[in-house]
Amino acid sequence: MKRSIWNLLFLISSFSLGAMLGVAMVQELFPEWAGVQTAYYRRLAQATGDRSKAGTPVKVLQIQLPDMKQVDRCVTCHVGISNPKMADQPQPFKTHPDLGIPNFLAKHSFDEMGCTVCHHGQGRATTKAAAHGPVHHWEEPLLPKDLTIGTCSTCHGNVMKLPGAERLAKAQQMFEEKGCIGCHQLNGQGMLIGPELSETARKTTDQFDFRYVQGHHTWVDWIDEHFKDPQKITPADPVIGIPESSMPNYDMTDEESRMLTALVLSFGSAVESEHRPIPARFKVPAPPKEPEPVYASSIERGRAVYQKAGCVGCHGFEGRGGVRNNNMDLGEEVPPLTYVSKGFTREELKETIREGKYPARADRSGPTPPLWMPSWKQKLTDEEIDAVVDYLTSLEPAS
Amino acid sequence: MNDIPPSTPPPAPKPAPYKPLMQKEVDESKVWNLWFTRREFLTLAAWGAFLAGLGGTLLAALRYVIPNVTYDPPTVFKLGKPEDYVAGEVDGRWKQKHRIWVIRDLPSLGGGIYVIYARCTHLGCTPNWLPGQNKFKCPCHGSGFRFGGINFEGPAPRPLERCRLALAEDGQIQVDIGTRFKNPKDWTKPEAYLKAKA
Amino acid sequence: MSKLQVKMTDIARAIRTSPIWRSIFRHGYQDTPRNRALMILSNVFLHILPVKVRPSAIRYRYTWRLGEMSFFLFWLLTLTGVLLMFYYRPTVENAYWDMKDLRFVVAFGPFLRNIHRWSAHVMVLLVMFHMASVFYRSAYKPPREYNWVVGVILLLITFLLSFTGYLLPWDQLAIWAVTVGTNMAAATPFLGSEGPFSIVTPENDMRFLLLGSKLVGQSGLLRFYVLHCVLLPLAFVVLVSVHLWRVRKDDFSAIPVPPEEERKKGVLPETWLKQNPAELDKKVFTWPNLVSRQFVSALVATAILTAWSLIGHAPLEELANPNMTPNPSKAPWYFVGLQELLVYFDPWMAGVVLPTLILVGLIAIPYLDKNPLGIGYYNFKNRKFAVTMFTYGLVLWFGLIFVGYYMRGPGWELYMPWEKWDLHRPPSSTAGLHNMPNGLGTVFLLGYGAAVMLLPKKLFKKFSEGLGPVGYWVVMFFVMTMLFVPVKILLRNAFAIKYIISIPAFNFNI
Repeated sequence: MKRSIWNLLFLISSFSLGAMLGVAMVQELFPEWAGVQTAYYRRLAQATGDRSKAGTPVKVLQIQLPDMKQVDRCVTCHVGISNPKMADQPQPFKTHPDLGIPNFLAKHSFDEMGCTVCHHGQGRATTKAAAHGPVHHWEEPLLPKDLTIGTCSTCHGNVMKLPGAERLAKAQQMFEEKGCIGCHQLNGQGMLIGPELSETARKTTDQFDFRYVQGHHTWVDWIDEHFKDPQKITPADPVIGIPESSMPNYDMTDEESRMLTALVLSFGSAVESEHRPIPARFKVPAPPKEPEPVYASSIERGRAVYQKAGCVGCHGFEGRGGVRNNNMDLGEEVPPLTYVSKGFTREELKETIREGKYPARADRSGPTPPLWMPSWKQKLTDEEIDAVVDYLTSLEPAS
Repeated sequence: MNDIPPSTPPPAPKPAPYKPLMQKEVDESKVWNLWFTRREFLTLAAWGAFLAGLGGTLLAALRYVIPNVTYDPPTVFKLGKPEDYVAGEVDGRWKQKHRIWVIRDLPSLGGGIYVIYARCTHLGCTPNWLPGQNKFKCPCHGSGFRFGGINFEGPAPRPLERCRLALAEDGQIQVDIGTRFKNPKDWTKPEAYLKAKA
Repeated sequence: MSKLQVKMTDIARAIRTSPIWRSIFRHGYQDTPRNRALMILSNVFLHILPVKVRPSAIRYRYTWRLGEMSFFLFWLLTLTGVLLMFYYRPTVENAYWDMKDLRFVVAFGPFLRNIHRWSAHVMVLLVMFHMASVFYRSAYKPPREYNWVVGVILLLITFLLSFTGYLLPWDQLAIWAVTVGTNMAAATPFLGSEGPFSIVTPENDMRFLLLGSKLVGQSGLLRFYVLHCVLLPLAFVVLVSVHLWRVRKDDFSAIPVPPEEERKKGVLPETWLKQNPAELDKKVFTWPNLVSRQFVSALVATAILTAWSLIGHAPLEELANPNMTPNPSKAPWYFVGLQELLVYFDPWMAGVVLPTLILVGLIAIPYLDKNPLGIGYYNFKNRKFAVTMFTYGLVLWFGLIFVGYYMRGPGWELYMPWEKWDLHRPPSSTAGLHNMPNGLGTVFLLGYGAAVMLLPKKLFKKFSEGLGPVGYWVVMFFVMTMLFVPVKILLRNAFAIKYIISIPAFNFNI
């Protein structure tokens, strides 16, 4: 090898190595958060009139939460989060809003709780992109503001009663009215015809099919779009034998599907995770269960059971039916119940409710219908079943 | 002959030089004629002891790295006696706690007990047992498994797995959910199918 | 000279003649032949090199500096590794989060971690190329056979170093790659609980020994950490010392290259050397000729690795989750060729028998190759068989790695490298696969074996005799196993045959 080439290589590699190490040093000396912190201290100096604050040395700030296994470094950029004097500043210098809830900030001290328990995001990161996300391989990107209400249930068993949770309570009401629990079990209540709901929010990104999702490939967008059009997000896949989703399309507005997404998040947050154990001192127990109301009549009781058990989810409001059930012989739909007393005796109805019923296939070579009448004998008492049959009988319109 | 004047006495005969016995030589006058000397024997014995010690140390080092105790979470549980289970039925009493079904076969099918692990072989959801349709059905994508666990519909690629069984001394069924049998060929083994004692 | 300059010179001279200075620096630095020799001789690190070396040894196109760069990378890895140890705790609770901290809050943390990982990959690649280079220039032939064997063991240690390090970040990539790797250990014949003729249970087989548990968990992490940071580096240092020592003792292999006209005439270097023995004594000083080139090579390598480390972040996936298997789960790239073989062979074959045969075969090369030609330069014409077989093995190895790495997606399905992975693509049907009936299979195997083992004796008489009686059978045995891999691949892909012989009772399938 000619000497000159080696000399040239030596020159190039020495200088480039030096230059690159210089670049690395510059990156270390001027990280993204340092600029933000410096700007913060300048604004603080202006806001408080105390000029000495402007020169505060910058460093990585973190909230250590060993019993929750978290370390939140959000405060490295969001320095002013607990300083009331910074309420008028733009993000990220702004104080945390009090949401109009009295004593909210006092009861949710950042030093004790950190940030990620409510907002998610990657607490240990020190760049905006990595901390907020969505980033590959971090399962909890920062939640959009309107969905943060979904994490209150991490500690609050009484979330529906909290001030500020009105939207969530409305979502809960919608959840009960539509009878989702009839197909989607939740914490042991309801039937397992579709996936269980407290598990849904805790699934990892790999477990969702994002092929038909328009938004980000995050759990939040999947659920949101799924509410708006279940058949689009979970269509049939005949090649591997997955039927189309039987979840009805409820024609929800954007606000409704957003609220329900927060509700599903709320179901999942209530389940304690191994990665973020919640110390007992933070937990607020659920309110005591309301006593069983006294019903005016058996029909009223039946109506309440029909709603609460989730029958309404498949058989529709007041038994009007209409939920698609592919390849079912009775017209590909879950049968309406308005005229059941005409076609069946009381005993037959009670038997069907107790034991369940499996629909026959319209096309024998086609797939089994995805929905079936489950067996309720272990979930409903005999009196409740009696009351339901009374209610169903009452559905027949007076001629 | 007598020419040399006897001025100096003739030199005393030198004593025979000491020749230690070499390996191959044998002194016929000795009573014990062994094929080694004491020195050789002791040397050999010393090296032998050293090598034995070294070998023993190596074996000990190997044994050292094999743990006697692990901190793996327990996977072995007792499930009650076989008589507690109704023949011909799929019992879900342990589904919530241990994620298993216990099935006791009718006498006509063998009368034994086996345990199915409640994990769908598609993507890991928990299926349900539907007695009316005599099948296990997964709520996530519709995979279906016959009584016994063989997959027949939906995307599941393999049958449901069965867990290892044993009969404890107190007569209870003992299951190890950490050891599972994927292949139906293994399901007739005694570890997977607990036959009642005759 | 100005007054200042005179003062400075006086001070310098005073220092240089002081007892302290002279006790450390024993000779001057003027560029004399004596000092050039002393630079090497009187330095504990440099005196592994000879004082003078043949000019042909300095050419980078001889060794491509592969061995030296591997050695250099080992030290770079040790340095960066030790620095990383200041912030990394090998516990299940802390390992992953310490990796995150290195990424976000440790000064130069991302740079150190990246350069450690990229250097590791490059070192594995370079040692494989180094072995190939040594083969192609016959630098393993007598008297250098022993050094080749030491080298193969070093190759194995390098793989193990990389494999043990792979687990330490404790993310999904780590835990599942190690699960795949250790499951192959469970497939060892006799000593593995899932291998053929198994005599152990999952509580005391090879896999349990490696991991200290039935699961990949805390004890496995700690063991791999100790292996990675202490045991394997120590073994490497000891063996590499022997390796470098033998390079000196066996006399560095590079021989003087005949001039252009002679080479054009087709004169063999060995013949030319016999005619010009004086060429062997022509030498140049190692300092500065060789050392300067080694230094610049190391500098270039560092510059490239630094650039790569500043631009490309080493992956860190989600926290390790033993309950969630990613799809696909791949072994580290240098083992993914073996994982690809799993499509065609059972785990005990693909994961244990074949790798063992590869290692044994490599070790046996110097003792089987009786061809004395080619030592010290690249020669293909006079060693066609050896070069062909080795190149075939190399191409097969890297070919399997390429397929396993770039062409296998979810479910280990075949994807073109440009195709996007589709988690919902229906799995390709294995319904058409069938086994050869055992009778036919036995005939086939025996026929194949007979063909490979016996035909060369008839067709290439001189070559066969040259190998010697024992050598012939051993060489043909390895040729037979090497050629068996594409035979199996063909049988499966073209004829949908899964096993040639299958005895399920013993879990024995070929």
